[in-house]
Amino acid sequence: MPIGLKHFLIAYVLAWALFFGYLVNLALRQKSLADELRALKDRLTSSKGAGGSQG
Amino acid sequence: MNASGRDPIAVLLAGVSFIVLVVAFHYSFLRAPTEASMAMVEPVQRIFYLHLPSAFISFLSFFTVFVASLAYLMTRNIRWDWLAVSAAEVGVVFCAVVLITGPLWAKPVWGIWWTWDARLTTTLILFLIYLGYLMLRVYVVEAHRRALLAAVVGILGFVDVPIVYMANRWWRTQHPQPVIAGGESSGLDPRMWWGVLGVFAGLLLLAALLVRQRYRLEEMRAELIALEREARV
Repeated sequence: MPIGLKHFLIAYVLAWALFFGYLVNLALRQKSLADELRALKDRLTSSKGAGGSQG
Repeated sequence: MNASGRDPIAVLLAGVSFIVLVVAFHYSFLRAPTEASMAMVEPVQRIFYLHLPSAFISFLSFFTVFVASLAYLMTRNIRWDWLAVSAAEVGVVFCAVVLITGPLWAKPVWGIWWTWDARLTTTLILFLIYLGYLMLRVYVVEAHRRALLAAVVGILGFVDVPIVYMANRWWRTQHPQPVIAGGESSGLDPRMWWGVLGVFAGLLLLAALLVRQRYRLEEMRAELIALEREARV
């Protein structure tokens, strides 16, 4: 094995793991917030509907 | 963002960044020449093509934090704070890549993982400053108070960027001498520059994608808080 090949491979693998890990982390955080937003919007719509029918 | 939840600009940034990086790394690994003093440890020298552009991008991200923080202090528009925190997180990721790839390059070349020379130490301090910036934000709940404190740290923290850049010009360091504006003996083979610039362009597009996605997260959080207030009324 050429001198430094191991270090070269580890450097590139770790760097790309960090980039992709961060991108996936952002996507998961966005999905979780989107789910919360959807649930809250549904709750607001249904409570407004209930309020409207009572009034 | 369209109705299906896909952001066409994000898809475009991801696609173009991928293509540019594949072409640039192919050129850097297979076409660009080996740096003369590192012929004995040939593959490890190619870490350079990730290390240097990542350092440039982290500087650019922290500069964005600096500008957005100043803009927030002048306008008190919370969107500047969203841009600042997005750029800070992305800058920390790229700075972490610099701090990971540096020692992995140093070990086979210098025989040591780390030394407390001016360039390495100031880079570590830069990373810790912006990590502190992100931690500070966790502990302050009120949005404008958090933005104000963070803006002050974001502006003061930027002072370290020119110090990192000038460290191996001002002091004798173990770190190699600068390749940009470093005097007569500095510089790179033009073919190596093409590799560096190509990877820089690809990583810049990736950084733009990451900042955009992180900024979107702040927008969604603000929307959620507004809806929660509405639900309480």
